[in-house]
Amino acid sequence: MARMIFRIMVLMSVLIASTACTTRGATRQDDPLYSWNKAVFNFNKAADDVVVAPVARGYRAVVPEPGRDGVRNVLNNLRSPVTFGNDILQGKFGRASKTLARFSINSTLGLAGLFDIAKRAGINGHTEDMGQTLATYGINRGPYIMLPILGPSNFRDATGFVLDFGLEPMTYMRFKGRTAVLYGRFGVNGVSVREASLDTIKTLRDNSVDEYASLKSAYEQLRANAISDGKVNVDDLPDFDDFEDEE
Amino acid sequence: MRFIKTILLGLCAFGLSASLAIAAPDDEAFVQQKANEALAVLSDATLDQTTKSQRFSRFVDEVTDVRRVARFVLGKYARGADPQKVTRFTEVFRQYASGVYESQLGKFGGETLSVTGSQDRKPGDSVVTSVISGGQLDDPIDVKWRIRSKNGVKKVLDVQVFGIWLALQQRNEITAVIANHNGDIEAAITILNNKIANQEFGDPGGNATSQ
Repeated sequence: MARMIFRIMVLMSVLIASTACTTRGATRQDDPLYSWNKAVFNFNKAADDVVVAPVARGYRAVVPEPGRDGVRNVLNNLRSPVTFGNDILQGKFGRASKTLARFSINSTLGLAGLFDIAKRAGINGHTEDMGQTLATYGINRGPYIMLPILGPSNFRDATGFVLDFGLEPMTYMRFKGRTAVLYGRFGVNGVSVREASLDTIKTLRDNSVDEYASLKSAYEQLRANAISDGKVNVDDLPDFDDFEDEE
Repeated sequence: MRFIKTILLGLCAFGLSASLAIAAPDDEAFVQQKANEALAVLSDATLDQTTKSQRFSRFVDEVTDVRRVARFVLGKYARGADPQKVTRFTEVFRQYASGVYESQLGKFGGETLSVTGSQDRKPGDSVVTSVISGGQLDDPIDVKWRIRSKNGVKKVLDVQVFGIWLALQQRNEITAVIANHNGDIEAAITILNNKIANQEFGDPGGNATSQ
C-alpha cells in the first residue's frame, strides 16, 4: 500500500511539474498550482456527483444510524496507533495517554472498537496526523494541492499522509488477503467519511459563491485549527481596519 | 504574621490570575446576551418563517458591523474602489450574510450557549469563546466571536464555527470571484444577487436534502 501511494505521489509530482511549466501564465501567488488544482477539483467533483456521493447516500439509506456509528467507531479505533504516534512525536503526552486509554478500552470493552465506551466514560477522542506533526516542527505547508479522489491537501500534509503509513500497524502485518483488507478499509473509510460530511458539504456548496475557493479556504482554516488543537492565536487574526478608508 | 502575609499574597496572586483569565468581561456578557436573543428568535415556534427571517435580519444588522465586514470581505479590492459600487456591495452582502447566518443558526433548537472565556487582541478588539450544547447536539460545538468595541458600542466582526472564521471564508471566496473577473466588484454583486434571488443558503429548517 505504501509503495503504491509512493508511486502515485511520484507520478503526481511529474504531472504537477509539467502542468506548472505549461500554464505559467495562469498561476497565482497563493495558489501556484491553480491550473492543476482546478482541473483535479473538477474531476473530483464529477466523481463525487456520479459515484461517491450516491454511494454515501445509499449507505445512509440502507444502514441505520447506530450501524453507521459503529463502523465509524471501528475505523476511528483502527486509526488510534497513528494518532498515538503523532501525539508522542509532538510531545503531547497527556493527549497520548488519552489516545492509549481510549484504544485499550474501546478495543476490549467496546468490542473491537464497535462501541465508543471511552467517550461515555468522559475520555473524548481526537486525531493527529503527520501533517500536523510536521507543522509543529516548523515545516512550511508548501503549495496547496488538490489530490485526485483524496481531495484538498498541501505539500506538507501530502508528505505526512505517506509518512503516516510508517505508524500504521497494518503496514508491517503479513497475512493472506492483506491487500483486499487494506483496499476494503480504504473504501469503507471513504464512504463513511463522505456519509458523515453529506450535510456539511451540501451547506458549503449552498453557501459558497465560488466552490473552488470555498473548499481551499475551508481546508486551510480547518488544518490551522487542527494544528493549534482549536486554540486561537489572536495575533494571527486579520485586522479589520486594514481596508477602511475613513472611520 | 509571616503566615498571614503569605496567605494574603497568595489570595492577591489568585485574584490577579482570575482577572487575567477574563480578559474582556463586558464582551463576554455582550455575546451571552446577544446569543440568547438570537437563539430565542430562531427557536420561537410561534413565528412563521417570514417573520422569523425579518426579525433575524434586523438582529444581524444590530449586532454586526456590516459595513466594516463588507469592506474586509472585499479585501484589497476595497481600496480605491468606486464608492457607489462598494455601497451596493455592502447592501447585497448584508442580505446574503443574513441569509447564511439564519440558515446555519436556524438548525439549532433548544440548545444553549455558554461563554467560556475571552482574550484581548488589542484595545477594543477581543475574541470571546463559547460552547453550544444540549438540544439536538450529540457533542458540544465550540463557537468563537470576534468583538469590536468603540465608543461604548460593541459589534460582532466575525464568528468561528467548526474551526472556520466565516468572514475570512467569505473574503477568500469573494476576492476569488473578483479576481476571476479582472478585479470588477460588479461580478461579486451579481453572484450575491443571484444567491439571494434563489435563496441558496441551505435549508433553515435543517431538513436539507444531502448532496
